[in-house]
Amino acid sequence: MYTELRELLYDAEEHYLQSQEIDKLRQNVQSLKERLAIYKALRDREREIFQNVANQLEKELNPQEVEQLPKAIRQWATILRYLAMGMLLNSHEFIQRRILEWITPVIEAHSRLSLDRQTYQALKSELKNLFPEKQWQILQPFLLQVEQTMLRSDETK
Amino acid sequence: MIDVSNLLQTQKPLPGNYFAYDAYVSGDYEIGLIENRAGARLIAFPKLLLEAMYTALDQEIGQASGLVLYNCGRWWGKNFYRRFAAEIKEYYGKPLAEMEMVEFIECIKQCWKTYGWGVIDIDLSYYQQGYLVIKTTYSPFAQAAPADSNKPMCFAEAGLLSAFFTQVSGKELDCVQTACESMGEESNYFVLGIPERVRKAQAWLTEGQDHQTIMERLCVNQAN
Repeated sequence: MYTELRELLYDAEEHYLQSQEIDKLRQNVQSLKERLAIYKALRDREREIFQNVANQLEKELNPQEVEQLPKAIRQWATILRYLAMGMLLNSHEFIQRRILEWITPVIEAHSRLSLDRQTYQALKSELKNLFPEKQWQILQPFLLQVEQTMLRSDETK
Repeated sequence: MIDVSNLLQTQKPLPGNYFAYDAYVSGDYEIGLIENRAGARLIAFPKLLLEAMYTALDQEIGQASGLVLYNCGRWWGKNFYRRFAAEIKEYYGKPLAEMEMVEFIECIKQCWKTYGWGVIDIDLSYYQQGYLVIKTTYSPFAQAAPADSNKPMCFAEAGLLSAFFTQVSGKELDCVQTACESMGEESNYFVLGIPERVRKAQAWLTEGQDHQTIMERLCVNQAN
């Protein structure tokens, strides 16, 4: 939305928007309704989502990892908040700059990749259950961005 | 059982990247004013001005120009630290001293990049020997330096780093630049340490030794 709408605004300085461009605008406005609904659901159900994640992981993790779990939950709650905003703006760049560039080295330094992977997987499956397929398709690319930047980058090191 | 509601309410996690450039720098380009997100005015140096500074100082005071720029950097570094620490404390809700090392390093890296000073990396592997090695790349100071220089030219950057890390560590630190992009190196290296120890690097630099050799000699010297 962010970049695409800005481009349309620039284009509209030169000419009246053509049918194709109006369609693009319409798609953006329609998808914005869905994005807002996802954003509100994430906001309103944040605690419930992470409580379910914590409950599940407490059963699966070893005692050392359970000790680190509160810190991981706090960090993933921050990541999800930025992800929600990035999804609302339809901007992967927003997520990259505002949170991933900053938090990826911080998390790597804590040497708890296995815990972060498991937290991410539990969070992902929680969100997949929460949202209907249409909304999940909107949210999923942003989760994938987080996974690829934070969790896969370490495999190559 | 973890009470997530209580956890997220009482122990708020650190927010994201304060220095993300699209959030940190804003301005009215029509009247030519830029400011940071704390509302402080920023100044942008064109490359031409940096080049002119090197040339003018060289013509006016010759060899002393390095020392003058280093001292300008020291002054700049002291003020930079004061603003940096205040902004960090305001945004993250805790002073620099209470931040984890990795959080502090990320802050300085992001800040360096957003200010347009290139990319900075802090190497702590010589910490036990009493040295801190800073690597920078894409330095505008090196890019503006005269191409025919046969010595490292980022004097202002070295002064800034020495003053900044003196404030961070609470110990007087000096800084010697041991490699420079202006001499065709891939990166700039700066070695920080207690003045009487790190100044030895200056003599080895004059002999033409490279960064790695200087570090080895500094560490051997330290062990003896």
